Amino acid sequence: MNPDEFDLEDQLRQALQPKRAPAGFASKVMARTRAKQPWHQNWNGAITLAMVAGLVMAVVIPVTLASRRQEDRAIEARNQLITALGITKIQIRQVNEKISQRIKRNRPAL
Amino acid sequence: MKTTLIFLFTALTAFAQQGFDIKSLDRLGTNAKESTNITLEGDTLKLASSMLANNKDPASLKGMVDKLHGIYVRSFEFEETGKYNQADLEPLKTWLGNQGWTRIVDVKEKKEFTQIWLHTAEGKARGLAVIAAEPKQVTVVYIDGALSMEDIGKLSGNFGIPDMTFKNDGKKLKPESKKEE
Repeated sequence: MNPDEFDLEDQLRQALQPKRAPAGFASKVMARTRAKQPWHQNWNGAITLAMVAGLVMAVVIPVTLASRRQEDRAIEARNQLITALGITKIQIRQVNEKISQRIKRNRPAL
Repeated sequence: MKTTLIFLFTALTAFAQQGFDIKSLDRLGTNAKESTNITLEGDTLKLASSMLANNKDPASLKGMVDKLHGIYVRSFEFEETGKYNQADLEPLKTWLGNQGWTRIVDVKEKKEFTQIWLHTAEGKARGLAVIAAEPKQVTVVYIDGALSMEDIGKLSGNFGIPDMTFKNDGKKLKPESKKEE
């Protein structure tokens, strides 16, 4: 065998031998990868959060408004009911007074 | 011909049994200085009832209101006399009479009258109507629904109204004036 071939074989073995990565290599790579991420990927989380918040608001606000409107309607209806019963009361009282006055007028003097 | 007559009679009977259109009284208030129009029925009445105190006190309004189908009030006040036509009340009076309501109170004075009508079925009150016409004011109250004698007592007494008890003699309900002291 040619001595040059031995030499080449050694060189190849040496070149192909696995080498340990220098300390901090992985974190450096990760940092560089993060730095090179496009802007929209960085904003994804914020956009998702905003969308969720928007959805929640879109549900909560109408429900709150509807609830408040229902409460206003109930108060208005209650007030109308009290007014209606109050008017009924006044009318019955007036007719009662008229009947009483008539009874007094028609009562024979003793 | 016979079929047509039967159909016509059925249609007229059905029409007569329909509720009175309280809105037809709104024209009474055309020249009114002040108006009160209250229509409480169905969900609105339930909503109003839901706002009343929910207690088991027999004097509470809620128990009474829950049994009602509707409360209708039209009250109009005028600046001068002659601003409304008392004849506009006639359709209501006629309707009440035709529907078997009993006029339990009818007080007439110079240019005014007050009537209280009661609708009874199976010995129980099913409705109350008050028609009060004065020269400068006209009021109609129409309460549709089951009312016990206690409920009517509440309407006439528990709101600070002088007692007005009703005596059931088996056929008609008559007002019984409170004894003079």
